[in-house]
Amino acid sequence: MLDFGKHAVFIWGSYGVVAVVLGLLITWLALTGRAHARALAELEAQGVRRRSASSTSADPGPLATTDTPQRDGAQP
Amino acid sequence: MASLTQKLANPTRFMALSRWLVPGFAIAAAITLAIGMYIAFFASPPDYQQKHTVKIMYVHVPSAWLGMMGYAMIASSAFGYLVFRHPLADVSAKSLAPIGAAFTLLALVTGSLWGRPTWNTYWVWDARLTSVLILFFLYLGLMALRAALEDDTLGSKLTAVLALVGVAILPFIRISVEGLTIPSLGIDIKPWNTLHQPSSVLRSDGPRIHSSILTPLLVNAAGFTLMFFAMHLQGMRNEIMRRRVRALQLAKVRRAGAARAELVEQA
Amino acid sequence: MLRPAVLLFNRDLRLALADGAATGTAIGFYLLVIALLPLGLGPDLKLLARIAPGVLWVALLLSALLSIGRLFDSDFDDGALDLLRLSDCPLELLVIAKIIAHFLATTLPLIIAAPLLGLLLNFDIALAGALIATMLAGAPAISAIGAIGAALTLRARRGGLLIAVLILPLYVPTLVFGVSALSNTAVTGVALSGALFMLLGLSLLALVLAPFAAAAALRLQTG
Repeated sequence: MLDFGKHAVFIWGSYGVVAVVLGLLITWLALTGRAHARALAELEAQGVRRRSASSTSADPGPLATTDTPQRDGAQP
Repeated sequence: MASLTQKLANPTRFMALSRWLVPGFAIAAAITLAIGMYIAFFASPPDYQQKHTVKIMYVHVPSAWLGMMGYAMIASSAFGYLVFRHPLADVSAKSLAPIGAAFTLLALVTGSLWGRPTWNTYWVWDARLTSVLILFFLYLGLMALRAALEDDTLGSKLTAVLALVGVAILPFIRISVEGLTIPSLGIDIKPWNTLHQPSSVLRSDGPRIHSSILTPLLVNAAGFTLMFFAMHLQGMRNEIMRRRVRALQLAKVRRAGAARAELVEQA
Repeated sequence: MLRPAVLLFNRDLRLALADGAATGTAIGFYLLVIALLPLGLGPDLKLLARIAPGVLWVALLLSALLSIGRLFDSDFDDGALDLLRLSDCPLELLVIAKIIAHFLATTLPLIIAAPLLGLLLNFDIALAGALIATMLAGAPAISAIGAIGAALTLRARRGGLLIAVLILPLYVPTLVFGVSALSNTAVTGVALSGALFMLLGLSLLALVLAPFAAAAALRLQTG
């Protein structure tokens, strides 16, 4: 096996910590992405448009895109 | 380069592009790290003085580099947001913060675990570790400020100001912690920890880089950097989707409210 | 154009001096933090003397920061900030006026009190002049950077804790250079040293640039 001498625990510990932290980060990013994609799909299936016909709000949404006004639901 | 940022300024185009970039970077990272780790574990000789603990360097040094790179990217995103009003700059900065902070934290932890066998202590106020610690504080400040503000737009703008202030003071922080010596200009500023002489003499240079150590170091650094990019792009995608979800939810509520108002009128 | 700034300076200074509690509380806080150290570390005079410069600086930073964190709060609350934005005097100058008034009313008394409070830590009173001088050299940096924090945390939750988390890392160079300048002065008897130059440079830069950052933050806060 890989024998790293008397300081092996520190070496394995370091790589272990790296694996755990990065693993958590990747998992969080992936899960959040999936949740948002699902929510988006649901909302678009319900036919929600960002600028609904009855809305007089001037707010174009937090990210003013250069999308043409009619097509709102860009696929992520 | 300018036209690249312009091309990516459109969130829709960014989403389309990043859909392939994220897995692309992720796979490239996985391959590179696999190669790097193989070399590190099976083809790298123990350092003369530090034996095998030098292997910690292969994760410690890239983590520190990426922590610093992350903050530099946040600062340039902040600049792009405040000065050029680049639409995706704030999305970029917001998603960078946790990723950069994580790598900085890893640099601290692996540095500490490296310090224990090398210097017999879990934490040592070595100049460079101290610099990384303060960098971690700067990340915490950015995240704390954003979390403390209820208004998202205000949070974005104030966080950008803080990032630029941090980057302006960063040279002074580096000089105060690590010292600055320019003999030709007669500048000799001692690092802070020479003010309070520690009882033992610490060799804070680290091992001298030998080519057999340099190769796995660079390969792993490249692998982690690719991973960083993949995570950053995915984080940006998440943030764009989150904002869109919120906007759609708001529109849905407004539509329901308007529909109800019509019903009340008809009644 | 300067008149609004002068008026603001006068008003702030007079308000602060009339309300003696502001200065008194700051000095009280400074005193208590300093007193806690021996209570926690034990009365070993040699140890206390060694840590005295660092402790005096750290406690000064904490006291000054918590005090200046409220610099814009009252003006924001009563709407004066909106009026100030409309004046023909640049907001940056008005910020400087407030910073200087706050320094004279609060930070300066803290600095003058420092050598005396240092006696609690067996601080060598012969170094009082050097201590005050180096603290004065760093005072602009303390006030200016603190003002940025005040502007950033104006409407934020957890204001006191938050400003400390944001600004204390930015205080590190001031702290390190300040203590270093003091020990250089004490040892060599010559006031000028690399650390003191860095401290003065940092102070100057902060005094010039911080008002822009603070004013920008204030404009963002008041919409």
